[in-house]
This record gives sequence, structure tokens and C-alpha cells, in this order.
Amino acid sequence: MLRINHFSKQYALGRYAVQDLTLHVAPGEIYGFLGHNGAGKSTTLRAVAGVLDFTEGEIAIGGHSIRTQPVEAKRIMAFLPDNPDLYDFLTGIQYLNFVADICAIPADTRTARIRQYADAFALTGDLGSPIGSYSHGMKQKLALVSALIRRPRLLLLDEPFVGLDPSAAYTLKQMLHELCAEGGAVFFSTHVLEVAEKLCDKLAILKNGRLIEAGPTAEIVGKSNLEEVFLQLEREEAAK
Amino acid sequence: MKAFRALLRVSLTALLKSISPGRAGAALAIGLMAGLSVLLSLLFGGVLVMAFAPLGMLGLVPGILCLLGAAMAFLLTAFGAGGVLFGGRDNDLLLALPISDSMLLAARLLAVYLENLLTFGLTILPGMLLYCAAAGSPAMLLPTLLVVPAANLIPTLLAALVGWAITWLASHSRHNALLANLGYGLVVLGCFALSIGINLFTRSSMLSEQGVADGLAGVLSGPLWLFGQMGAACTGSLPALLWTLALSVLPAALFLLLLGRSYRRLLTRMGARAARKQYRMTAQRSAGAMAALLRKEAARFFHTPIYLFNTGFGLILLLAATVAACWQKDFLLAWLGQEAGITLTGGQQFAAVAGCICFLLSTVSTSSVSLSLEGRSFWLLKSLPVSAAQILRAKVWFNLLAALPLTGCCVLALWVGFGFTPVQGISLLVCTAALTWFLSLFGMAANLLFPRLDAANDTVICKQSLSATVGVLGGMAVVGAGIGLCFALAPLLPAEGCLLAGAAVLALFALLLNRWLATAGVRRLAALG
Repeated sequence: MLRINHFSKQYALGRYAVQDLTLHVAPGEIYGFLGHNGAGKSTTLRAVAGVLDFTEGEIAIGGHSIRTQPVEAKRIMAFLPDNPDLYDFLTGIQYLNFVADICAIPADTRTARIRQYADAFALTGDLGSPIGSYSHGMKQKLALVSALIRRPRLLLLDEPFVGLDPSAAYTLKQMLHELCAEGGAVFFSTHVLEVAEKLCDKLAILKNGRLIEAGPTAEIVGKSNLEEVFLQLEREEAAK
Repeated sequence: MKAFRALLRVSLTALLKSISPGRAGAALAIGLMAGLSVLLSLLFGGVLVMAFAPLGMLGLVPGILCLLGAAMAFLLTAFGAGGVLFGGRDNDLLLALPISDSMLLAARLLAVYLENLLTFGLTILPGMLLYCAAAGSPAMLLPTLLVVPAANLIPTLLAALVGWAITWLASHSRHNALLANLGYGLVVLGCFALSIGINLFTRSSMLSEQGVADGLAGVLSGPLWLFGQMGAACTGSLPALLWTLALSVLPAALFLLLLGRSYRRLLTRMGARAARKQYRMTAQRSAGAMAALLRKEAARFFHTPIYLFNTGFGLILLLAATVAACWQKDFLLAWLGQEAGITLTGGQQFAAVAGCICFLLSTVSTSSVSLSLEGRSFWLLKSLPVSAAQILRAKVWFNLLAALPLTGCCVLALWVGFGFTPVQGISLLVCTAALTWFLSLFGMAANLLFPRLDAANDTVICKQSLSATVGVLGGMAVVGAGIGLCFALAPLLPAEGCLLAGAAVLALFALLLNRWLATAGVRRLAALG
């Protein structure tokens, strides 16, 4: 579903945010992306989503290159950044219709999907209000609904659980499982190691822009727990 | 004091960064605005000096220059002061700092003041130089240097009060955008009413140059007495200087004292969420991607007063001027003939109307800021399945949709009102359409070349960014060059011929710009974010 091959992103003064990252996410997988602050997780996700330009490596979604076939690639995925700044001047329902129009979702289908997901996140009653009046958590929920109504085959999420109340976080986890059960895939970053350990089929750990570990969660964690493994890997990498 | 300096430094840095990320860009934008102010001041000051010197009423010039400077500074800041003082995205951050509310208000007000000072000073000083040369007393420039910083407080305070009143009113309604637009519309109407009032006040004595001078003297000693005092202070009158200082510094101090106490409460009140209405899910309708993008652009345009008034002001003026010209055509022509000694033939009337329409259209440039206004939500457009070319096309088309229908209606009304020939009417329609097309693409190119996606508020993007300046001044330069060429070619080619030739040239440049946007423009958009 997602193939990242030798991806590098270089900023000014020659500093690499991410260097030579290779990673594959298969259909049906929930793939967790871990790393310290500034490790390059958001940069990678933004590049995969087509928000950030890059020059080295290749990223393909469902066989479509994000660089040469961006529209085809974006049709089958949805992205949610860590701080979803939405259009404050639109109401929630106007925003959802805007996304649905861009993604060519028919009227009856979008009505049913908006109802389903907005109800699930307890957001329906607020859809008539301007987004500018929403709290951070409500914006997060609206952005999630706008991503889910597209029924993406690949869902890219940057710290999706930050700002969500426990009930919404539980709903989201269920929806991620449902998406994967239907053949979709999820690639998300998180700092919450417990969530990653319980939710993810596979994990990738990034340190200073370099991949230091990737594979099935069970193999990485082994008999220990993810927190200990993560800290051990960080120490080993720092010692090199 | 250290905290105040730090706050001011932040405000000024934000101001400069909002113009352009690079120093060269910021210097270019400031240079363009400063150049325009100096040019206006020299032109206006020169005309005043030449008109009033023979009448022995040269003393009126400083007062009129002060009035002009204050009016320009007020008009340039009226739509933005509310955003700077009350609409900052950094309110939460700054209010959490251990600084007093008065200090925060003072630092923000000072940023508006300094912006005004550039306009106010550069509008007055060059004209005053001409005045001093004509009066033979260069020493008068010294009191002017004292008057300018004090008198600049007046347009700053007026702009702050207008911003406060409109933001306060808007924050008390669910339809806050509509209320804000209406509020700023009323400010524009008020400015029109004031200028018409001054015109009526002086019209009774407008039968000769002496009458004009007497009329203006009456205004400066009557309803606009304060500006008369400012003018007198510029010429060295100590009582007038004291009046000017007292009437500008005291209200400013009072404003800071009164508003400073309740500034936090006001910001909290203005940022309060309006009561939400329970939404009931109903059947939704679908539309195409381009229609969705255009609707989004329209919602942005009508929801942001500073955007609407700064980039669509020319259209408001065009509508007002069309109504006035059709309604008062005979009076205007008679007035020009009797008082200015100008008798316009049918062809000259057509040329004058065409020139005015094109000039007003040159200020309509939504596309020069619409990309910057995406700001922090730019990720959204980039992550959706729309091509970069489609995004750019929607922004260009919105500029066309905002300008073309209204311009077409105005041209048709003027066609009928002035009785233009079919060739004249069609040439005017074709030329305005080509000009709008070119300016829409030009604005888009300017915004792609000088984007600002991280501005603190919409005001700085619409008013101070380099792309906004280049978009409007570039349009004015193109129209100015066109009018100049038409004058030069007048003996060889009638106005309608010039318009058609101009339309062809503009269409050619529009095609070239369109090509650039489809290739290099798309690449630039992909690299942004």
C-alpha cells in the first residue's frame, strides 16, 4: 500500500531531517512510527501526504508516485496532521461538504457517511457552527471525520490521539481496526508507547532522521515492553 | 521597560516579516509605498502652492497637507487596526506573559502608530518642502518635524476606535463577518459623506480660485479646525502647536488609560465563542471540485473584512462612481465646463470614463493575497486530490468572478448613461475583461513569488505583504502606462482603437502569465508548505 524507498529530506545548510528511509506498509497493517521530538516523523508523514516537497528517494501509494502522480495517490489516502488548522470561516458541515466535493463523493453516500462518523465522535450537533468556534479536540474530531468519509485505503495520522477525549480515542482505535479489516492500512506517529504497543502490527523507530529499528511489534518488543526497548535502542544509537 | 521594548520588537519584526521574509523584499515594498506617498505629496503640494501663492493664501497649504496625510493614514489603517489590536493569533501567548495589559495594548498601538507615521510623514514632509521653498523660509520645516509625530496620533486613534467598535459589535453576533463587513462599509460611506460634505461646504464659493481658497479656509477654521491648527503649528505658531500637542497626546493617553484597564476583558469577550445552535443532519448536496474550491474562496472573501475591503475596494468605488456618473452626468459635465474650463467632447468623455474604470479595476486583486491567506491550513489543499494547477486556477477564477460581472454591469450602465456608440461600448467591455484577466493572473504570480504563509493575522497579509503591494501597484503601473500611451497615440488612434489594441496586448501577456503559472507556478506551489 505504501512504499517509501530511500527517502531523504534535506533542509537548508545541508542538514538532513530524514535520511535514506526505506519502509513498506502492507494492506491490513497498522504501522506505528516512533521517535523522539524532531526525529523526522512529521516530516516523513507530510512528504508521504504530498504536503512537503522532497528530492531524494521515492514514495508510492497504491502504486502511484506521490511526486509524479500526486492526485491519483491522494485519491486513495487521507492525512491528518498533528495540529489540524482547518478553515475557521466555514462551518463544520460546509467543511465536510468541501472535502466531499473535492473527493467526488455522491450526495447520498456523503450524507450517510457524515451521519455515521459525526455521530460516532459525538460531533453532529456542532456541525452547523463555524470551525473558528471549535475547541482543539473538536477540530481534531472534525478532521478525522473528513478523513474517514473519504474511505481511504491508506490513512496517515500524525499524533492522532493528542487532544482526543477517552471516548473519541476508543472510537478511533475501533475505526482503525475496521479500516484495516477491510483491506486498508494505517501509518501513524505517536509518542504514546502503550498505544503503539497495543494497536500496531508493525513499528518503525526513527532517531535523528535515521531508521534504527523496524518490524513486527511482537518481534521488536520481545519479552520486554516497548518503553524499555525504545530507551535501549536510543541509548545504543547514541553510543555509536 | 525591557518588556515593552521586547514586545515592540516582536510587533515590528512581525510587521517587517509580514511584508516579506527577505530584507530586500521588505525594503522593496516599503520603498514602493514610500515612493507613492512622496509622489502624491509632491504632486498635491505643488498644485496647492501654485494655486494659492498668487492669491496670497499660501498659509492654507500646511493645513490641507495635514488633512490629506491624516486621511491617507486613517484610510490605510482603518481596516487593519482592529486586526492588529484585537485579532492577533498570539493573544493567548501574550496574555499569559507577566506583563500588564496596558503595556501590551501600548506596544500594539505603537506598531500601528509607526506604520501610520511612515504614511503621514511622507505625505506631509515633501509637500511642506515645496511650501517652505515657496514661502522662502526653510526654518518652518523644524516645527513640522515636531507636529508630525504628535498629529499622527489622531489617525492612529481614529483607526483604533473604528477597529475596536467593529470588532466589539461583530463579536456579539453569530453573523460576525456580515456585521464586520457592514461596519467597515459604513466607515467607507462615512468617508464619502465627509468628502461630499467638504465639497458642499466649499461649493457655494467655488466660482473662482479665490472662492476655492476661501471655502477651504472656512473648512479649516470651521469643522476641521484641528487641521487648521496643525497647519498653523507647522508654520511656527506656538499656541497652535500647543493645541495640536494637547489634542493629540491627551486623547491618546486617555485611550491607553481607559482601554488598558479593560483590554484583557475585551479580548476575552471578543474571543468568546458565540452560542452554538444544535445542528440536525439533513440530506447533503454534491458539487464539482472546482465549484467547491470557488465556494471556499468566496466564503473566505466575504468572511474577512480586511480581505474584502483591501482587495475589492476598487469594485465598491466603481459601483459608487457609476451610480454617481449616470445620475449626475449633466451636472459633472457642466461643472467641468464652468469651473475648470474643460469641455469634453463625446470621444473625450468616453476616454475619461474608460481611464477611470481601468484605474479602479487595477486595485482589484484578490489573487495577490489568496494563497498567503491559506496560511497554516495550506496543508489541507496540498493533501487533497486536486492538482496544483487546479488550485491556482480556482484562485484566478475567483478574482475574475468577483470583478467581471460587476464591471460588465457598470460598463453597460455607463454605455447607456453616456450614450456611447456600439464600438465604444464593446471596446470598453473587451478591454476591461482583458485587464481583469491579466490582473488576476498577475496577482497570482505575485503571490506565488512572494508568499507569506506564517503571518500573525490576515491584516498583515492583505495590507502589508509584498505580494499585495506588488499586485496593486503593478496593476496601477500597467494602467498608468496604458493611459499614457493612449494620450501619446491620441492624434493617430481614437480611444476605442487604443482600448482594443490594449486589450490585445493584455491578452497576450495574460497568455504568457498563464503559461508561466501552468509550469513554473505549479512547481513553486509544490515547493511551498
